[in-house]
Amino acid sequence: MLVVKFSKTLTAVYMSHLDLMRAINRTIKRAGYEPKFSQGHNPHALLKLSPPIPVGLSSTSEYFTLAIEATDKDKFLKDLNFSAPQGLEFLKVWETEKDPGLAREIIMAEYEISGLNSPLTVELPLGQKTVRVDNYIKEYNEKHGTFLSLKNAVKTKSFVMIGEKLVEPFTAYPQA
Amino acid sequence: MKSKYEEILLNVRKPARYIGGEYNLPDFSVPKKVSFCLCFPDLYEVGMSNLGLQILYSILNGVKEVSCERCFAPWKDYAQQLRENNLPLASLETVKPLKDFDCLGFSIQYELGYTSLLYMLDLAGIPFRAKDRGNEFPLLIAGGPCTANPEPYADFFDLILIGDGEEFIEAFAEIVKKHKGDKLKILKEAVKLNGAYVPSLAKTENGITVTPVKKAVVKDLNLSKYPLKPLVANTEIVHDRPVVELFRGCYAGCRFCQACFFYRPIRLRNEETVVKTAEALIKSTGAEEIGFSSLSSGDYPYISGAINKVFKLASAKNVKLQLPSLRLDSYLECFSDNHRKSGLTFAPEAGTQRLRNVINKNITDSDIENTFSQAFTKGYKSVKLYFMIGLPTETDEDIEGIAKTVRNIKDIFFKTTGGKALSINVSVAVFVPKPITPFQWEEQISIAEMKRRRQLLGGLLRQIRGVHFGWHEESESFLEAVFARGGRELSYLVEKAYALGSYLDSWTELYNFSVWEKAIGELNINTSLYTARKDINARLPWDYIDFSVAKEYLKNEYEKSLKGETTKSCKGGCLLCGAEC
Repeated sequence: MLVVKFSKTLTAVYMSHLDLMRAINRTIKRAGYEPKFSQGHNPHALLKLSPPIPVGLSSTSEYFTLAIEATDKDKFLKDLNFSAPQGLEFLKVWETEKDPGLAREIIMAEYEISGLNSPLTVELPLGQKTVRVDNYIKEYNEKHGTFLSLKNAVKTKSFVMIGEKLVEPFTAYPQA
Repeated sequence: MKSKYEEILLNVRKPARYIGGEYNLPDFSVPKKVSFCLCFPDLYEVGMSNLGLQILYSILNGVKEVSCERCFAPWKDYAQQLRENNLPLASLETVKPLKDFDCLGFSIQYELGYTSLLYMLDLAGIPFRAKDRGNEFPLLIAGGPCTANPEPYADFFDLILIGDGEEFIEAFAEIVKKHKGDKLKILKEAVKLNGAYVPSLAKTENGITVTPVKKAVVKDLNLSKYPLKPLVANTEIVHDRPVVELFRGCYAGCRFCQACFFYRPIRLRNEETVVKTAEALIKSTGAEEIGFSSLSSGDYPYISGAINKVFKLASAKNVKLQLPSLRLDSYLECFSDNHRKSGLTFAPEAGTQRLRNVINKNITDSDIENTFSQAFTKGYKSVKLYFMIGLPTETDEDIEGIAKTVRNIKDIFFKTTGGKALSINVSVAVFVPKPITPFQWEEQISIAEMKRRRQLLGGLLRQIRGVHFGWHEESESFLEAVFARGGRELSYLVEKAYALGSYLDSWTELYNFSVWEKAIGELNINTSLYTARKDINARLPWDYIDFSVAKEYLKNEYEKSLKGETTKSCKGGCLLCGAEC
């Protein structure tokens, strides 16, 4: 099982979660790798993404896990980047024995929001509709009379909870 | 400027439609001497599924000192944002306003898209009529299936390409390069190319064009350029898979079918080219699925070899092979046991043998019996059937025949499987007489009569369980008939309908027939002139085009049809239609 950290910027920020899934699948195939497939009526590659982010938001901290035969990790990263569409860049890769279940485990994220005057950093829990980053920005604008939009925000960190501590996935799940 | 366009993306549905950035995109960082933009008067999802667009895009971007970008019609929310922010419609790749290009190439796919063409021009701030555009505006050219009769929109364009675009577009790009900035010089030289119709330079008699134009034909598809690295969309599109075109033209000769005669002569890609192309496409796109394209893939002489070889190399990469729609009578031979049993699509078109003879759909009742027994034995549980209503000589008995055919297929299912749970989708369209078909002189029944026949058929189909009855909106078929055989004068109707609010009419949500009724009323147009039967000796608006299939051949086919005589597929031997395959 491989875990890959990647960024989603430029034109790729307009890909929906499903679009992203398709784009990564195709990138892997173009790079010449054959992931393991699910069994069943409609087999699909065993690829899982970290929790969805709003369309229009840039992120330098997205993840996916992939079931695939052991492979040269540096070469894998290089090949993937060579076959990627504009705006997807694969940053780190490591191996784990079992699926860390990132879609469920990633519970916090950090965003940098560059405003009209000074940048600010906020921490927002995910999965609770009331405090999604787009809503946060909306509230911030109302409070401060600013005109910030998702275009001003970048998701820079994702966190999983280990014991009582929030850590980034690559620290939490060291190489197998 | 670019950032202004980016800001509006957050306020629209599906922003991925408007941003480009696809894989396999050429490099646009260095501006070229000549700029083309391929414009598609429908949404991104539809346009990006179009093979012709991908072909021309890759050819033009391969011409020295030429670049080619794309633009699709935006959905209404994006259009509204453009208007509110005073932004002109721009290309995807470099966000360059359409009016700043040297040449815009429009793909004209269906009659109901004519107002969408004006919608794009309006958003781009470009005058509709060629005569109102000086050298400061781009050249506007058109191509696509609707060039079988370009008259209703001819006045909007500087040049219309009739036929295959591969060779024409390359030669044309060279001419534009040579005389950049001087439209008249470009047009005077380009009009000499095969397939080039320049309305402003053509002579007319009584409003009908008489200057001859010969359809452009690519002789050898094995040598013609094909996009081996097509753009891979970042968002889901209608046909989200790369396709290999097997052949152009059709052997069958169904008398209602424009594509059959318009795309003749028949030109085959050989098996080797097909397999190699498929291999390259799998590699360059990473797609989950690959498909074949042609008018009747079952008639492709190397179909079993192509299916077997492509299936093998696709499976090795976990890629599915999507089998194309196959004509009923050719289906048996290439039944693939490995293929997922999703659903079968068949088009008997008419419900009785008599009427199938009239339209020359050479399928017999026993063909239906055999094919479906085999299909059901192999495990198929859902069927989609296409029929047409309002065909020449049709009576109520033929409509009852559709219901009988459907019932018969249910019985076959019961006999072969013992089951009753067969899902049948019956999709019915209204016959539209089209140029360069043997039925080009025929009439279209009135909207009231269409409605009566629909009710008759609907009533009969309701009595059969498991049947879903889908119907093509009557008034759309009516408008298609008007434009399919209309003349130059109809450009005013297109303009009027757009002014009154018609655009993107192929989207049910936006289609509104009352707009068209109002436009027709205001211009006082007698539409029955277009839908009525035409005198077989009359000069037709598209007679100036040499389509390669001879008019005499079509006449002869028409006469045979009225006697209920069939014509064999020309696969068994040339029938001298004039196309010189």
